[in-house]
Amino acid sequence: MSQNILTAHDLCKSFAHNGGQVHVLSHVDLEIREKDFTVVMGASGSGKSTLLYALSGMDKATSGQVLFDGKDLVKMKEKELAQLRSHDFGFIFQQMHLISNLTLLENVTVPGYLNKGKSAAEVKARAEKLLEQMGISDVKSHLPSQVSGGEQQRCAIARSIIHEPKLLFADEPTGALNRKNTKEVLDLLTDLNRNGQSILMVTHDLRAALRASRLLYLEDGNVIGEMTLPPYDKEEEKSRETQVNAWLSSMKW
Amino acid sequence: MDILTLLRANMKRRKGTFLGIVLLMILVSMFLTTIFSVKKNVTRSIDDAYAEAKAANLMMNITNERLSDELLQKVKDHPLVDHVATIDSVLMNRHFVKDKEDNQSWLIVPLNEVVTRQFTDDFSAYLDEVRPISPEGIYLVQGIATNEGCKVGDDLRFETRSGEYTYKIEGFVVEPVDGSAMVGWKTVYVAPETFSELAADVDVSHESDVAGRVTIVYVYKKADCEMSDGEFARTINRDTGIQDYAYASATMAQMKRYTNLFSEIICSIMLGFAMVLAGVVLIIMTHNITVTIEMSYAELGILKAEGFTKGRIRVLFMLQYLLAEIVGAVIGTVLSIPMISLFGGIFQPITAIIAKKDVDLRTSLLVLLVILVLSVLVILLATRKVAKVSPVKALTGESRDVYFENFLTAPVSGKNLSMSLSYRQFSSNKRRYFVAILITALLMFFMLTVNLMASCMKSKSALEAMGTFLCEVEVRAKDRFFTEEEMDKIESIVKEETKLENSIFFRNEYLTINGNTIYCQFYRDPETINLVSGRAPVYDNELVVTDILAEDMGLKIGDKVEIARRDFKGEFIISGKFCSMNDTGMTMAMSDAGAKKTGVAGYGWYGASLSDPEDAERVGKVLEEKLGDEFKIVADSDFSEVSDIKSISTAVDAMRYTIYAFSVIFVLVVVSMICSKTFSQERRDLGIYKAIGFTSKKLRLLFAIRFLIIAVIGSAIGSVLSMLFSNRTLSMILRSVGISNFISKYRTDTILIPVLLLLGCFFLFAYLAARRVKKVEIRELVIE
Repeated sequence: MSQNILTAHDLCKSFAHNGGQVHVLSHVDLEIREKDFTVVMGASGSGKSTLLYALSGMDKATSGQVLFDGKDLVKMKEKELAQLRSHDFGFIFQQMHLISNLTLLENVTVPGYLNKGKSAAEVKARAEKLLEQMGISDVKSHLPSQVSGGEQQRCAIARSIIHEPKLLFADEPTGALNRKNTKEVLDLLTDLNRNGQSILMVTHDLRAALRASRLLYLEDGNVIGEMTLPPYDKEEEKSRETQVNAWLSSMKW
Repeated sequence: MDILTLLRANMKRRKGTFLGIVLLMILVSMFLTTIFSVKKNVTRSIDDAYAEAKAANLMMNITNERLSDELLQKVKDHPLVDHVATIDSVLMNRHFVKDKEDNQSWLIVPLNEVVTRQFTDDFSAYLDEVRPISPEGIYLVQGIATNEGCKVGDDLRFETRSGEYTYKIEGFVVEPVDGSAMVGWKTVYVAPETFSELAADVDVSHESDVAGRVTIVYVYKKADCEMSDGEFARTINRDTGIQDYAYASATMAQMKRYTNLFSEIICSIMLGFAMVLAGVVLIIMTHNITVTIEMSYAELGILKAEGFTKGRIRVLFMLQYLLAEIVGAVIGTVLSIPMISLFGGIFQPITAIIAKKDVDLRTSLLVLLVILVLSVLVILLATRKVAKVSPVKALTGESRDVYFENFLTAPVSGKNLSMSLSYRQFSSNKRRYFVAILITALLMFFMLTVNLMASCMKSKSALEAMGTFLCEVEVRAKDRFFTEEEMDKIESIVKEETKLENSIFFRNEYLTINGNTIYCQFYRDPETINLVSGRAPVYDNELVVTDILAEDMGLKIGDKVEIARRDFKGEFIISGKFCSMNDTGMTMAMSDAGAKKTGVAGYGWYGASLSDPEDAERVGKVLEEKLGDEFKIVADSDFSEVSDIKSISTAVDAMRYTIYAFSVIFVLVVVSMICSKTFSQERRDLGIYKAIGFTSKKLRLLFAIRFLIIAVIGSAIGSVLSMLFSNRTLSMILRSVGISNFISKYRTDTILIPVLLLLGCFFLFAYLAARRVKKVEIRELVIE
């Protein structure tokens, strides 16, 4: 059994709305395990993204605890959170969110430079290697506006792992991609996980969910179901799909 | 109504822009109204003081032995002359204020009814009436207080062949004609009984250059005489020859000009700066409109989709910006009221007249109206892009920024991450920062130009190159002129003790050239004359003139002119042109041979400019030891203490710091406005940077460095502009004070202070303006 890498206790997140409070996350208790490919699913508005952002420290929870390496993210100051993002966490957005005036290579190297443990030359060499792995080394000098959405997302994945994060968060990484690009991106994430990368992904795409080793189901801000799967094998995708579909049906998805 | 609703909403939502324009307009309007008002107030106050003192159209100082009753009668009988008035005076050349010798000519006159105004002891106001003066007291003019730093209660001592006279300064009175620090001779007042006693003691001859009896002659032209004062003086002299007998003379127009000269120059420079500031407002407005159209593309598209025409949208922009300008102009005009009083006071030590404190509303409103009209044109031009806003493009989000690599793109380096990333942010959005660069360049040009002017006022070599002789060691003969042997001895003593830059045996007097009374310098060694072209006046029928005099009288090298002095009349040839700031550049010079020919004999003044000013005191001591009591020796290593440029330097410094202060405030507003727009445009990128591990502090630093890069580029452009145009600009402006070839003297601090000030302000203000980065939430990147 893998060790827990991230733990949430009694996590709540609410927003002020029309003079009242809307509770998006309601007393969530959750462990994310090392080397798992954890996928959170749920209907629109169930609080998937909010959970992801609260767990990654990108957004502050209203109450509760998010423990990483024994430290509570909820109590961390901005500088500590920035340190966490530049060293321990990686993040992939649905809309890629590359810096539009930096080339693909620079988009990958810049966060790497923040990591003081590596020299600039080492960061650049790793970035070049990652872009090659992602199959976009031929467009590394292009600006984001000059490449396709799939290439942008692959660059975003390379950016998120340049500093070899302990945990990679992904928010609907295939949400803005076509079928072909979706498959390529999911293959990349699967490969990363096979190589030991812990991943926490939020999605409502069944194809993405099939890559998970652990599935969580969120409803009204609560984790109401969990399913563990063997590592993804393309040959067994059909049976895996049936199994996951059955589980999702039981969750009234 | 729909427009008003949108106007209210826009002003509420973009109150930063609205307030920015209001603030800039407050500054511009306050600056313009202040300068226009001060300019007018100073001129009017001088005019009023002249009218109150019943100043004559032509004033002459003539030694008593030169002024005959016949000559005076001839003037009185002239058909253009209304009447002539004379005042008996004592010329006193050796006077010591607080034991320090003042080198101007003073005329002592009995306190009379012409003096109608007296200052309070702190010069802040006029007394209700002129107080009676005690027999031991003396009244001075403010110009002396400015140059010598004396105050009421200080002692003042005259030295004559008959002995010493000590008086107590009992007050300062208004003498509009020569009270100004810009005028080289001064009238001072004593009690009538004191004057009678002094006059009786003084030797009647003034040739000793120490003391003498002088009649001040005032000639008034008839009311129906339409001639200018200059034409009137030329006609009177042509018909009577009286000016040829005067050792000093001036017309009312000349004296008013001298009195007002410096305030006019400062005000002209300040007005130029105010115009630049007004230009900056128009530039920043254009920038804001352009950026707003880019940023609000979707909203404008929606407005168009809802039926708003491009005309209505442009009217909306127009109302929004014009309203901000008008509000700013009104507040600025009100705030100018205390500024007028404050700024007007800067010139009082120079003009020696308290300036009025009126607001010149008419001129200011006219100029503000011109700015508003220009604003309308600028807004019309800037809002042309509204026509191109497509509702479809706006709603489908096709109007996003697209970046391309360009020749300025440099790689982002890991070693200099902050610097290289900031540079990338700048280079990929050059157009966005063009405005900031332009504004920086303009401000830098102005700051450098004013700094150059100020530093030249403190640079010996620059002032000398422009025609001022500045010396650290002076030798004056007491009671007589130097003999030839003494002159050789003085020169050889100084040369033995130190290395000389230059030295002159010098004398000056007013001569008439083609009927115009002009200041003439006489040099024992004509080779020491500061020549610009041609050659030095070696022969006894040669002279040199300044560029300004040549232009004024239509003279060129080789021309023949008629020179007259008392009974002498003769033809001279212009052998060359030289530089001199005396009498605002209306000056000529001739050699010892020429001096003798015109009847000017002997030199009573020697000045030495030393290569090493630190030697001055030692050389002075040696001269004192070797020459004895017959000579007065003044030695000071700081030439500015010897020269009369201190008051001018103070006013130039006041102007410099005003320009600095306004530049800093403008930079603050401009940087805040551009930062705010840039921040809105880059909000998404800032979120991304935060998401990948950048702290708010680091992002603010990136902002600050980016604006530092802008300031560096703008400063460099401004410096190049200054190198190309500052000299020309200052030569043009300073021509009126006699500087026709302004020599710039770039010292390290000349450039460094404005550069550091602008760079520091840009960096600091950008860092402060970017504090909103803290509020950017990474959550904003989430699409739910």
